[in-house]
Amino acid sequence: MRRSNGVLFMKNIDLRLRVNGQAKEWSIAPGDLLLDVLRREGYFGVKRGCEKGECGACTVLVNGKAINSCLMFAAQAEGSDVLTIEGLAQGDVLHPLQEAFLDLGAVQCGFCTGGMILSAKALLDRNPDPTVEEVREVMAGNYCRCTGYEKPVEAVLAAAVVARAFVPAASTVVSTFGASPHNSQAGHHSANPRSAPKSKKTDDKKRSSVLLGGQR
Amino acid sequence: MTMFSSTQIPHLMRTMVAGILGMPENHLRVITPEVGGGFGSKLNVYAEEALMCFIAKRIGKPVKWIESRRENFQCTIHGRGHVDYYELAAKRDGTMLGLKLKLIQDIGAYHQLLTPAIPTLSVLMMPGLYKFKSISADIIGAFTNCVPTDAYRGAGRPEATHGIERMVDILAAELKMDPVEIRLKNFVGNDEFPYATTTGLMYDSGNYAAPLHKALAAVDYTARRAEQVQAREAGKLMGIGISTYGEICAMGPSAALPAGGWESATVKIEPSGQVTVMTGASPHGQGEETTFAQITADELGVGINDVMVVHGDTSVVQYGIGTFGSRGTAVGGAALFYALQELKAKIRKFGVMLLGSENVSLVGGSCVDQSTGKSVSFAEMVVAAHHAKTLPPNTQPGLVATYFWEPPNFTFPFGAHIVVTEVDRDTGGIAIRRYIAVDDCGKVINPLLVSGQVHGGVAQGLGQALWEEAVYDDNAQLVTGELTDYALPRAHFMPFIESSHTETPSPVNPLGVKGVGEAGTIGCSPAVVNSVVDALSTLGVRHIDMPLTPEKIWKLIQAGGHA
Ligand code: FES
Ligand code: FES
Repeated sequence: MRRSNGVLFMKNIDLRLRVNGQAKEWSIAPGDLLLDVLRREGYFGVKRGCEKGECGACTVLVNGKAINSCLMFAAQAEGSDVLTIEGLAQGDVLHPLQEAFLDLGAVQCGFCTGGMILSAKALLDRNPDPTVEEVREVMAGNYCRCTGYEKPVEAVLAAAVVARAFVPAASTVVSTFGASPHNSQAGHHSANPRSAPKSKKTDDKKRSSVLLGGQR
Repeated sequence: MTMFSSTQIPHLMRTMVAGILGMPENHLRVITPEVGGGFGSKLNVYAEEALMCFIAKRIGKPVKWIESRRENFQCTIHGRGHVDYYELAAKRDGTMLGLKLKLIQDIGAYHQLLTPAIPTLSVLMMPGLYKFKSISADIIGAFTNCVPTDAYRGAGRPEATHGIERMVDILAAELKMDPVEIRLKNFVGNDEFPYATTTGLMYDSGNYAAPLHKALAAVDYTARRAEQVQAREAGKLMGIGISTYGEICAMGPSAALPAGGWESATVKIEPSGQVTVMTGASPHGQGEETTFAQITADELGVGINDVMVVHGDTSVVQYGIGTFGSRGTAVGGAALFYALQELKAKIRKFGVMLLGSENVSLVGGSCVDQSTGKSVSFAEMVVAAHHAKTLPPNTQPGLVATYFWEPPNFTFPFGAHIVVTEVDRDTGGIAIRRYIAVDDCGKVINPLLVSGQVHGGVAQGLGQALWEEAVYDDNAQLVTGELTDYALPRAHFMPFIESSHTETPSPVNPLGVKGVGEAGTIGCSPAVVNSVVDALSTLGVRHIDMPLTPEKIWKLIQAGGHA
């Protein structure tokens, strides 16, 4: 017998899903929130900011759609493809949104950043050329107390430019963020910060300091 | 015992929690993980923090405590909470003479770490950027059934700035003078620094007209006033609001703070030539990991990516005070600068030894013999110091320096914010048409990070001016206990902020920096309220209390300007 969210349940159930491309099978209580399960399994980039669907810090993509993982039972994710901020980079190669957030100083304390970037990814996946207003509207679901939103909005627009320069595998695209050829898999862009010249702004913000936003 | 806590003050936390529990201070290790923003609410030692350590000790097991968002709203601290009564004396020509304040501070139910210090800062800063012959202030601390008040971004200075900047505008309206003219007339002059205020402070440096002129040019003030005349003729409610703010930063000389106001830095040059910086300041989003790496790279001539900045672990980092009161770079950065000077002097000794000449100087990372032009590299000197095959006279092996810097004064940043608003007669809604922020935080080390601080500060100032409020019901229950009820600004509420700078270095520290963490919050709220009052001045409105919710503004318009 196990207690979850104040309710007693007779037995755990099995949850099968894919997280960041990897198949997972977890034993969960029927009442467990997706947020809690993901954090329990070590995806600390998923933040608990309010538990009420207000702050967006817990945002993950479920089958490509940005959702508040605090408002979803883990059981509802059965069979789904879940993307957390940990799964956005391809190895050491950051996603253009992550590159842009770093280059443009859109990360301060980093608490909101993972959720913000995933909301932005969902937006760019369905609308590669958003207006400032559209970006602000989508980001309205992600509270940020540090940045005043200006640099994050700027970063999403800048990343959209890079993403639009997307050309299928063979050709070479060097973006303002020093992107290497994008691979052609579904919506994932690779950008290699080491292989290409950095924009001048890159060194303005040291990476090590800001990457931690999604790490704990 | 190891304690992980989301705090701005790891070392003070350790001292206080160890004291509360009666355990040896050096048996407690406080680690601050990525803090997730602080803004003053984490400049405290909360009962739960000591309690969790107590329980862990008692049961001999790890204990984890996660507060809910509602608990966070109810059981930490709130900001502001003033009722201010001002009187201002001025000559007919607009020269201000005296300022009198009765300040009633809602203390809340408990005295928190710095509660009474906050209204004290308000009184110290009540003259703003202006010259006054006399100042009088009474602070009344009122214990209430509400959440305690304490430091929140700006901590006492936004309150002071709001008061004086509102009073200046009210005076301008009374005398039918332009709010720009009256400010220029009363500024402390450029030749008057260091300037002793009537409240006992010593303003370090300033050029108060410079950011104002820059902001006026950016907004094209004359054109905006002309536009306003036309807007009014068309029945529109357009306002132009100015605030010229001053702040007291780089907290501060130890005499002014309860537990020391210095900061510490340790710099270690590893045998590989990489540099580790340990700062007693505990940044949490301000970006000192970057700023301090820049300072280090500049001084030592190493690459910025060869510098690692470490903070927030009491077992690793020497004692420090923490990050608050815009002190991280202005005090912690200065401590780092002096530690680097000590190391440079030591490196130079090895350069002298290796070159066999006294006539050397450090250029970039190398040491150059001025007479022969021969040089030894940074790496060679570092290896010489670590391997210590031979040592310069009276010199220890290794390359480590620690510096504890006591600041001789505070710093006093300043700036000018101009806000153009339009008020919707039918809904009471306020649209921000332009937001100009010209801030002077002394020397700017990293423009990207500085503008980030300004943006975030302005967002919080706008939140305070327009939406945010702690509302209690008749039974003193907090009804704004969730993020949406409290009405935090969201992305689509925010205007584009046109941010720029003037640079007037501070003589207080060797970097010339003043601090910028709170500037946006301090400059913002009076500029917004002045703008909306200006918009509604045709209805006879002279003052509106924050927040300027659409409901409040709509009612005011409905009542023909009479609240
Ligand atoms: S934690 Fe899910 S929206 Fe805040
Ligand atoms: S960066 Fe701190 S909340 Fe967004």
